[in-house]
Amino acid sequence: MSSRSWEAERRFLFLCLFAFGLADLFLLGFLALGFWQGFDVALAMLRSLSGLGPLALGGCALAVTGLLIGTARYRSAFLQFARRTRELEKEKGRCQALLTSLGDGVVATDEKGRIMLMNQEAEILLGWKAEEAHGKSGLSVVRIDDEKGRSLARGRHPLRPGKTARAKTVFSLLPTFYLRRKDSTRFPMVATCASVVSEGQAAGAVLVFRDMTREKEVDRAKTEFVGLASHQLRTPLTAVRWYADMLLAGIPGAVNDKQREYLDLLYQSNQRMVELVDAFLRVSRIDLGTLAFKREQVDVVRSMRAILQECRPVLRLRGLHLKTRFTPSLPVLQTDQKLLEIVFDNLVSNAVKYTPKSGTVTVVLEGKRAGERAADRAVRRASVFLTVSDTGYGIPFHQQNQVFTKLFRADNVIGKETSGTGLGLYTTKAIVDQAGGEIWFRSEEGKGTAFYVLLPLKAERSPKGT
Amino acid sequence: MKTSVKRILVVEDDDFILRAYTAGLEHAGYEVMTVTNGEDGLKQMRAWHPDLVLLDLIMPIKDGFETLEEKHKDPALKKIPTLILSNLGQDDDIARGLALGAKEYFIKANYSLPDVVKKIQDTLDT
Repeated sequence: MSSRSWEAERRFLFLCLFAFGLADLFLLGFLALGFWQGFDVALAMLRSLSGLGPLALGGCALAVTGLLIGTARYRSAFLQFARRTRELEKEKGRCQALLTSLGDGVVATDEKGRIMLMNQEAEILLGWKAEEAHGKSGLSVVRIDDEKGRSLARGRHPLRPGKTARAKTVFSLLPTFYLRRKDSTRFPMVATCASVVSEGQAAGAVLVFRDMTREKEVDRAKTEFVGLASHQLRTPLTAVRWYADMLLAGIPGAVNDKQREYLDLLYQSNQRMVELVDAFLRVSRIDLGTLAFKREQVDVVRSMRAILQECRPVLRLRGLHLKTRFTPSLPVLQTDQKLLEIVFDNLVSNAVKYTPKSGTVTVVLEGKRAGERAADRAVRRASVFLTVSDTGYGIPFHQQNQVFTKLFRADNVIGKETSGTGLGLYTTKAIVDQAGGEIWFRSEEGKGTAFYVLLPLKAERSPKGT
Repeated sequence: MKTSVKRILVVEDDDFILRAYTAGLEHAGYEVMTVTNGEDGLKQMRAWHPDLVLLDLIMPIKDGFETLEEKHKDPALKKIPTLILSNLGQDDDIARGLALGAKEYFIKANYSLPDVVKKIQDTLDT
């Protein structure tokens, strides 16, 4: 029922009551006069007002009728209201039941960040009873740890008060975040937290979360399998390599040129396989969080020159031009040299691999101070800035959001280059993250791609996620 | 007890790798004995007095770590230089191997046979 028709009903009823009241006053006057002066006087009075008498009676009748109609209409309106209220109650009950029996945990906070609502699953998962959590700060009940087991900083907690109306935080499985139960045990979770918007303003937040223990276990088992399989593959690869070594060294007897050529090919194929297995092992370590990251002094220019030196034969073979620009006396980086060289190698060999004949690959290394700009980004800490750009095939626009995902290969190059594994950029991103750096790119199909890497002078593990 | 020809004991359970070791090392002028588990490895260290031990890690009966641990505790065997050649490549495996007294740790797949021979020569020379 809209408030407007309610208002109309009420006004009508008041009018009727007013008329009825007037008629009552008239009747009361008559009765008072009757008791005071005797009813004959009162009747005489009434008769002397004979002109007004019927009018008064008519008014009276009208008022009574109005009152009856009004009451009836009010009653029906009231009944309708009561029915709607019952329906709303039922609807609310249904909503509540829905929320309560939802398979995912739901916790809602008010604008001050206090727990307002907690469904059954949330109670089970967090070990809190809704009534005891009610009114408590969301930060003290929903305790989130990052993948290293450190509790999430207040400023990053999705249920902190004072967030903007459009804030949304998503916790996915990688990197994994954990929820602490009341008894401080914890479980891996995925969650989405969104601001509750009321009249354009943030009126709290609602967190929906799920226990990912099982998924995490499956994922771990799979990753461990990849690690184990890769490890097992290494032994026969070693044997192939060593027998080829002996044949090439002429230990069992001299080999002719053709035999040597074939043995070289055999050897190189085997080496490719070894590298592939190493790449899989590395990915499995990244996924298990067991990739060791050393801190050592690294001369980036020297590392880059070594990588470029290895690429030279391929560059020549493909008729590509290489341009380099290294700022003299770049500061030394505190990072893991082997892993950094994997980053360099992946970016350069991608540029080489995905650039057609007579194209150009450009490699630039420069120093950046905090506050300066690196391509289209602001630099926050003193860093070394690497740009690897090419005039190659480019990455299709619709696939650009998948570039750093595992096993991704762009549609436009799958047919052209069959040797990619789809592990390179995934690994590269993981290493850059581990080094506390940033990596991003610009690409246009048919024109080329530029990858940018900002590496802070001191490798610091940056908080990931959200 | 030392002869002019250096003796190398190879403890390795993969037959293909064993045969490659034997061929490569004999060609380089070493006397080679091969065993396929750590138990026999320790036995031959005591009986055959090798100048150097090449040790794999994942093996049946007694694995490389256990073998190394036992060897490290035995004063008679402790001084025989040992190189670990394994395909386990985790940093904590490497650290553990070195802590148990291994001279060096190599990931087999990343070394050619001539590299391995060179490492053996270097170790015996020091």
